[in-house]
Amino acid sequence: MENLLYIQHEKSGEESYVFIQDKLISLQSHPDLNLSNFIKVKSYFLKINSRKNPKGILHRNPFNGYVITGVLNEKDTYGRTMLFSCYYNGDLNQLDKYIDNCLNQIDKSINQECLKFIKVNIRRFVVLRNVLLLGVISLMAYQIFK
Amino acid sequence: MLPFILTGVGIASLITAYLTDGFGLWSDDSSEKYLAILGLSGAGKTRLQYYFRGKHYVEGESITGAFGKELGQAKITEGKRTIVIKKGHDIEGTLNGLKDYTTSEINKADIIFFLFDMRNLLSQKEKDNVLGYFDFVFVKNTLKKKIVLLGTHCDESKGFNASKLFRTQVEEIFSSYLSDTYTDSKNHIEEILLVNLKSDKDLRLIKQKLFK
Repeated sequence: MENLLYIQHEKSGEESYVFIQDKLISLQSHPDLNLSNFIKVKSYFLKINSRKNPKGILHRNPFNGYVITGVLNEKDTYGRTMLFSCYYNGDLNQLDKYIDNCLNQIDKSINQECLKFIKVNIRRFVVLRNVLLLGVISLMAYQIFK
Repeated sequence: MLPFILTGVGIASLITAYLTDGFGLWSDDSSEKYLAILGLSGAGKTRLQYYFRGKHYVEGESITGAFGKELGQAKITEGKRTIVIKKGHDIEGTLNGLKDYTTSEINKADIIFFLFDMRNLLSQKEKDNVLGYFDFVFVKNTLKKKIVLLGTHCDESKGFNASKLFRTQVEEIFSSYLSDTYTDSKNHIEEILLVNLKSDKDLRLIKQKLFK
């Protein structure tokens, strides 16, 4: 699946910002695009919630992608902190560039604390996955060669 | 021996009855309700959900976001009556979020609150959005559950929408829209209330609607 980034518009009733890869699209011109398939993951493998502000939620779904909710520095017209939701399955080292690239197009920016939370927890996920994989491989090897 | 056995059985029955809410004999007259709180972004859905659940709403809190928020069960009381507010879902007020969640929220609901920012009725585009979403809710409400219409933010444009004249205008816009569009709307529109969700008095007024 392609990377996708979704941001609720700062004004009520206006069309939300949706990026496929890093291209801003209009949902009206993509009526068959089902956002739920990307960012509203019902079944996920793991979830980490930031208990403190700024808010950050990280979902790891079984198909190698990450579903991320994070905080922007901007507020909407009601004075509420804006959020973004993102499906990402690219190179993890390029994640912040991808987010920045999209946000720059609409004059928004990610909260740095939130970005730190996301990067730290993605690294944890990677370590956990590698440990689990190693465990499974070791068990299999033991069963074969014992 | 028999008196002891009877006394024992009696005590055991009393304890069982107490633990099971008295088989309804001395229950606290509580009932359970699922609240569907619907409206466009910024209408005040989160603030109202928090109020019903006794949670503190922090000004400037982040928007609800694409996943919505799961909300726990809560009890509210009015005099001697208690209502258990069932676990709920605070939904995102964008068109995508509303499209996804409105039908399921209405199906689960015992009472529907439809919130709209009163100021949105002043510009044609925003008015169309509010009424368009209301149409959607009305059509999806096939079981004709009771809807309470809440016009919010009457505190925001001071001296203007707080005025009696503006309130009358808003009520007229909605009433005439309803009577023109839906001939049977009076049967399930409980009331149109114009409120300030930052006012305790107004919030209590909304709470009373649950006990009607």
